[in-house]
Order: sequence, then C-alpha cells, then structure tokens
Amino acid sequence: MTKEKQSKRHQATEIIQLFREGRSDEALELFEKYKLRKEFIGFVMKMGINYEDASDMVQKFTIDKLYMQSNSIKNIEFARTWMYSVLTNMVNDQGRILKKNREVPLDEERDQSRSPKIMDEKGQTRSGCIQEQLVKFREAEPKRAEVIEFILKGFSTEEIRLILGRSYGATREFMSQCRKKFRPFIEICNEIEE
Amino acid sequence: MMKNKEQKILQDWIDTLQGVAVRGMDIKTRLEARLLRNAWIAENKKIENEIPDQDDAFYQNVREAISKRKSKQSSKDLWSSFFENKFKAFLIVILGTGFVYASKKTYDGVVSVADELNHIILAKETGNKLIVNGTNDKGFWDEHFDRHGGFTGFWSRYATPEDEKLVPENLDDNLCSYNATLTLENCLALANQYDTNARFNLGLMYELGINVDQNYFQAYEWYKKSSALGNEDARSNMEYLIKKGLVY
Repeated sequence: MTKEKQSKRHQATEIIQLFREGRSDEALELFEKYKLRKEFIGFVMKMGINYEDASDMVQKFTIDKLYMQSNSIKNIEFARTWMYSVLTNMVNDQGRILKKNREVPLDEERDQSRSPKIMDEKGQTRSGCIQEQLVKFREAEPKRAEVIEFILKGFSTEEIRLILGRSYGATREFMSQCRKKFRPFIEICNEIEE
Repeated sequence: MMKNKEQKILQDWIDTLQGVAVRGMDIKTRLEARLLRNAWIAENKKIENEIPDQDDAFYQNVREAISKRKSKQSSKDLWSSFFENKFKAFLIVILGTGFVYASKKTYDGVVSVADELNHIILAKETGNKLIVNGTNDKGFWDEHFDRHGGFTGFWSRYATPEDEKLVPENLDDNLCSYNATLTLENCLALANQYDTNARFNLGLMYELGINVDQNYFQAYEWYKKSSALGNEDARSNMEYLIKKGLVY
C-alpha cells in the first residue's frame, strides 16, 4: 500500500473517531484541512450532478451520515470506504429521483447513448477524446464507471468489495468486465495522434 | 492457466491505473490504463477548478445543523439510554423504588417530629354550655315541641323560650376551659354532654396530671372519645402518646 493511500485512510479514520467522541468542531476542522469537501463534491460532480446540488449533497452527507451515523461503522479502519459507499448510495438515490422526473428516451436514442461516441471533430487531442469518452461511459455504465473511479482513487480490491457488497471473486470479475466494457470507448480515440 | 493470465492482466491494469510502475506488462493494456489515468487526472483538475477552495457557508451550515441535532439528541438520549438495556432499566426501576420507599420513611420520620411539636398542652375553651339538670342533646320532639306538647316550629332551635334556659350563674369560667381551673367534675359533666373540647381537656388533665393522678391510659381514652367527635387536636395528642410509647 502506498503512503498516499495509507494517509487518506488514516485521515478518514481520524475524522470519524472525532465525530464519535463528540468533538465535531475538531472533526470539521480536519475535514476542511484534508480537503475532503472538495474531494467529495468532485466525486459527486463526476456522477453528472452540478456544483450547487453536489455541495448540498455533501453538506447533507456530513450532517446525516458522518455526524449522525459515525457510531454505526463496524470497522473504523475502513472509514474511508464507508464514506464513499454511503456517498455513492446517496448519489444513486438522487439519480433515481432525477430519472423519475426525466422523460424516458426512445429505444433508438437509448441504444445510441449506450455506445461509444464517434469522433467527428478534427484537431481534438487523444486525452480530450478519452475525457469525453469517460463521461460517455459514466452515462452508459454508471455502476462500472464507479468501480473504475474507485480503482483510480486508489481503493484496493478488498475495499471495492466492501463498497459493492460482493464476494472477492465476484468483485474481481466485475472489475474485469469494467475493463472490457471500457475498451471500445478508448479504441475510438486510438486513431487520434497526439 | 488462461484464468491466471487474465487475472495478471487485470492486476497490471489496476496497478497502472493507480500509478504503480509494472514491468513486463501487456503494451496495449498499459497504454489503455495510462491514457485512462491521464484523462482522469485532467478531468479531476478541471472539476477541482470549478470548486472554490473555501466555502464558509458550507461549514457554517454544517455547524448550525450539528448544534441543533446535539440539543435534540441530548433530550432524547435519556430515554433511549433508559430503554437500550433491559437489565439496566430493571435495575434503575428497583433502585428508584427503593429510593422512593426510603424517602417515604424519612418523610414519615419528619412528620412524626412535626407531630411531636404539635403536642397540645393547653386546655380548650368549652364555652358556657354547662347545663345543670338538663341536656343539650335534644331529640326531634324536644327540638320542635315545648314541654307542654305545643308545637314551636323550626325556629325553636334558634330561640329557646326564656323559661327553658338552664345556664350557670358564672359565665366567665365553667371550670373546664383553662389549665389552672380545670376540675374533674365540671369537665366530666360537659364531656357527658358530648362536648368534644371538654373530653379533650379531660385527656389533657390525665396526661399532665392536673387535679388528678397522671394516667396515660385514661388520657388516651378521653382523647379517643374527643377524636371520635372530630377533634383533630385530640387525634394529634393520641398519636403523640403512641409514638412516645406512653400507651401500648
């Protein structure tokens, strides 16, 4: 485990510990110091939620989950995992509400949104192309995109297993599927020269 | 074998995504992983630029909400902690009952002291009701008819005919009203006329030994008779005798 991963795990544990002891002011100071607000808002924004809503959601998460439910965490060592797991559920719940209010697209449109976007713009960089494909992938496969996000954030397979609530083998299999599913999205950008 | 190879590719892909240098890795997978990682880092930077570094309103709102919850929670905590553990609740109930019982005992003790202080040793004024050769306790016939059998009406209770009045000459002291002049005969005469204060005074005479030999049992009996007529002070003195162990 890298030092960065360890320190992030330690930071989350430290904050939860302070909330448990009722030292919420100190916990919030650390929350600010470790830039967790920015990290969490960024995470929520990547799921397609605008800044204002993301900020509100993280605020709600800090009060309702971090403060109120800090005692419900069984293993405090996995506090960071718990935080992301809870936040993901909140985003999914919000997504469901948004989905309910949104008009359902026609089958043809839906099929199109689930396939990689064909690049037609000239002069685009490969990096920019992949960024766009990543956004597209999130829309098409939100659950798989979440797993890729967790991998990129440095979570171990064990931690991702806890977030997904699956067995170790099933999680590895799911991660493998994520890689395979994302491949066609990247292949489109391969033709673009840097 | 095939499965192991796939697992290795997956692990290499994960490690590369997490920024770990992997040797002997499939070139295509490495390229994919690196491109994805770079795109992710660039996206992160872009999003981070959209989020302000400081947001005082955010922390202020959180602090206010937490302090509100804290005040709500503190009032809830007492009940929730009480019902959290059944054994604890049972123990608290038992201890509480014991405490209430002990308090009651102490209270009773305090009351007995108060009763002791309430021990009345002054004779009560019996008024000038001593009637020689007569009785105050008239029945319906005596009340509404004169001695010749004539109907006097209901006013007879308030205005007794002058000739029927049998009052002692000395109106100042009937010798059963003051400690100094209590006499057994007068008090007995009044007591027999159902005078509650006279009965009380008799009790007091026997208790304190005024003009009679001190006799707590006689005193108790007279207090009892007075109390039966509703005299609260007689009851109080009766309790005093019992609590002091003077009668049994």
